[in-house]
Amino acid sequence: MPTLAEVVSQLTNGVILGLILALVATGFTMVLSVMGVINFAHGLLFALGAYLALSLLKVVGYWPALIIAPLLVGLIGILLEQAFIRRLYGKDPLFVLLLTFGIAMMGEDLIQMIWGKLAFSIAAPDLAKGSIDLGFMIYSKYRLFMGGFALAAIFSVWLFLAKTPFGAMIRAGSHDSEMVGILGKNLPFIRALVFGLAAAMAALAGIIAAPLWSVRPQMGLDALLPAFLIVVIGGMGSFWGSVLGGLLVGITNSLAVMFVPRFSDLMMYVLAAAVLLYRPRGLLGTRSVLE
Amino acid sequence: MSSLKTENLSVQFGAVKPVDDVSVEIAAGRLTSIIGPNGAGKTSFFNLLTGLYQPTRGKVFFDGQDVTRMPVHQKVRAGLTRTFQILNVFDTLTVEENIRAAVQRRHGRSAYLFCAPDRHGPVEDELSAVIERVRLQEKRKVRACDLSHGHRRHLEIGLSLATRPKTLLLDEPMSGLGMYESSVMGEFVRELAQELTVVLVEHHMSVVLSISDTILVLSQGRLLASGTPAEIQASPLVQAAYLGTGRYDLPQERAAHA
Amino acid sequence: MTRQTAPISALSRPTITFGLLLGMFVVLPAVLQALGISFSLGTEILIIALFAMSYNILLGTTGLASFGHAAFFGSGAYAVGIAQNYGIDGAATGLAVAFAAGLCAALLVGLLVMKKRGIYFGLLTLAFGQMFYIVALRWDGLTGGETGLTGLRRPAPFGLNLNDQLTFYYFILAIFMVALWVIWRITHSPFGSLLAAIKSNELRTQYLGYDTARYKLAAMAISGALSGLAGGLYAWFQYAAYPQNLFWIESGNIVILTLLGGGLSSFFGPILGAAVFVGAQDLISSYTEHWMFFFGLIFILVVTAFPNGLPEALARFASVLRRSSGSASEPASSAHVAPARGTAP
Repeated sequence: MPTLAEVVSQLTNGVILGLILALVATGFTMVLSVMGVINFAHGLLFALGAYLALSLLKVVGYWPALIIAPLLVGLIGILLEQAFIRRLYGKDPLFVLLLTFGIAMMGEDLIQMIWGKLAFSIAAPDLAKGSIDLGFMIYSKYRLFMGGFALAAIFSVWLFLAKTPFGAMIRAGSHDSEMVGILGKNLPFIRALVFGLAAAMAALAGIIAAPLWSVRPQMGLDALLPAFLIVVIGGMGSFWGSVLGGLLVGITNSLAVMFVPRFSDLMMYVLAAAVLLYRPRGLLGTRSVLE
Repeated sequence: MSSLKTENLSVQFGAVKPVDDVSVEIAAGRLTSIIGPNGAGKTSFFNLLTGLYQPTRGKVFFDGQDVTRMPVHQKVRAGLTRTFQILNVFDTLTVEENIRAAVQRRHGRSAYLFCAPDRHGPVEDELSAVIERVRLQEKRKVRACDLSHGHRRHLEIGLSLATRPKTLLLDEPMSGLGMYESSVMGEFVRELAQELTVVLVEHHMSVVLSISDTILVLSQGRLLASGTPAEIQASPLVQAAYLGTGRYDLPQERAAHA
Repeated sequence: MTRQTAPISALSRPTITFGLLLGMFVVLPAVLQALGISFSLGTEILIIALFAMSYNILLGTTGLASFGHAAFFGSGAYAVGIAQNYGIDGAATGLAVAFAAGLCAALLVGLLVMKKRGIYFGLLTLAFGQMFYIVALRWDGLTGGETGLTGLRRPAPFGLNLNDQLTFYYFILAIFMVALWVIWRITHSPFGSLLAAIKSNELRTQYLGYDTARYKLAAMAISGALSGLAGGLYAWFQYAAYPQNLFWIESGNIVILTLLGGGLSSFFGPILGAAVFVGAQDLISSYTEHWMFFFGLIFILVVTAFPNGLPEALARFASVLRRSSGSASEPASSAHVAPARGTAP
């Protein structure tokens, strides 16, 4: 049996992993509820964040890279929306999902062409190297930094959604398809904004996760599939639902690593299935326009 | 004997209460109409009765049985069905195929995997009877999306009749129809009420007043008044509610012509 | 008493199409040989076409876009492999095991998703489909982990040597034609007409007294079982079962090739889609290792340029040509391969 300290440390790992996944999932569910688009390329944007940071930090250092790479990926997200996804609004959602499938495949292969197939690692910034003695356990400074950073990012996005006029428009669009009509001429702008913001959030998550996860072409899928399940667990279109779902998936995963290590990544599916059977709309989901 | 009964029926979406504390009894074998201005909660009330919405509070009884939480398909099997205000037929199927889908269930045919759908005598006979009933004999092989609006209204009622309901809820069957078509539809609805309980939501006030046994008035989700057409016309409350909107026929004004 | 005898044209139309298809596939090996292409390409087209036809019971007939069908296909493949490792070999038992595995997998996913529709159905099938891939990777004692199950054997029914590529092709063709007939029969049955009603308007179907979730589950079960069967054949075909057979890319491929063939509106469309897609796949992967890039490109092209499939795109192209040349040449639609589903009885 693991000791108490091990359990606490694993639980903390779980919460931190959960925050990273929540950052990916909130962007994913924003796109889903505002535009009705399942963005399968969301994982690609996560990976792209890590890869761009990898190249940038050699030139400009860690902190500038942490800012520039998400902005670049946000820009790429806006470009994708403008060039491809915009054409398919109002058509069968099947098509736009397949489109993002295609983008994800091309993107993953492009990453392989540019950076190669092998995995890289990104070193933690000096500030967050080593470990810290918390009195009851010794814990990695970088993980704490990750958790804090993810939490700050989630909170900023929430502030943006809750307190700014743009945020109000996004929320209106995600609650009610009829409200989308009211947005009128602002709609194309809001859609591009949401897509860009979601892409930047995914990229940011990718960068802060990079020192712990190895940077490899397929890393996007490792973040995307949990995001799917988190949306199922938290409830479609619910911001705090995604955060809660992220934390639950993270904690489930970290506990499973201790007790059923071989099937640890299956446990989140079990969790999602249980939620689906007992709360079909998710823990914090309400009646959705997407049903 | 009541067919449908509600107790304190309410539903709430966010801050909106489309139906608020409605308790009514709808008599079996009669034609009951529900009137009220747009947004009064008539369609939401139908949605609650048939199980499309789950009520936030209150109960629905059908034939004395509590059916509040019963899913849509079970209510239909128990004999309660409806039509829709916004036309709701199988657009990609022909008239025949539409009605057949409805008829074949009661013949236990819908689980047959290895035969043609249109080779079963009893189903075909019943289907022809329904098609005749809603006067679509000429259009049997026409796809629903190619029918005229009036014919689609007929098909919609045919679909509901094919489930052999005891109680039929009709949601604005005359909307989009011309004067003549509306009066034909009115007669048809009256005819239906000879055999089954009919609940009608309709804006054509002259038709409603001339064919209904009982009228319920909803306003802002609440039951405002109920009574015979004569009582409703005389009610000052109802007149006030209608005067407020101005968009619909005044019961009294219409009655003068009727 | 039946009301009337069916008009001859209505009965013979699918019979003619079946005859034409059979004829084409019987002579296909000769064509492949003339072009210097291995028979195995034909075999692969047949198996993937069977997979796509099974898939289309959900997409084309019931209107449910599943994005996790590789799970059912791959389950069939692994079931054949695992059965062999436990000494269960024969052709009939292999087919039965693959069918049952696809069925069970589809029921498992189906129970979770049967009440959903539209985009949410897609999201859930995609997520839970990927679960099977993870199981295959982790449960390595049973599945061989990342390498999969290799060194599988083909059965020897009636003393046939299926290791001979041509014999194997005709063996698969026989199964394909039988399965195709079964799918055609189910699609054009009372049950099938109900699936069409669900596709057209699920809510209205509920208001006819149907528990639509159960019919959707049944459709998934049938579709999954036949996909499993196709997967079993594929395990024999490649002498192996790989995790890739369960991967999301495989799920995406089957959707895109079904669309490519015009499967949304035509019964036989997925066969055309499979032929074109498998052909392209073969070509692309023999020229470049960056096949994923080009596949992604195919996905994007299909959904933006011809979401209604090749037959429709060709017909449109032909009409443009006709108009520009001013001649009244024959329309170049591939009507033989893909008659509109509405025309069948």
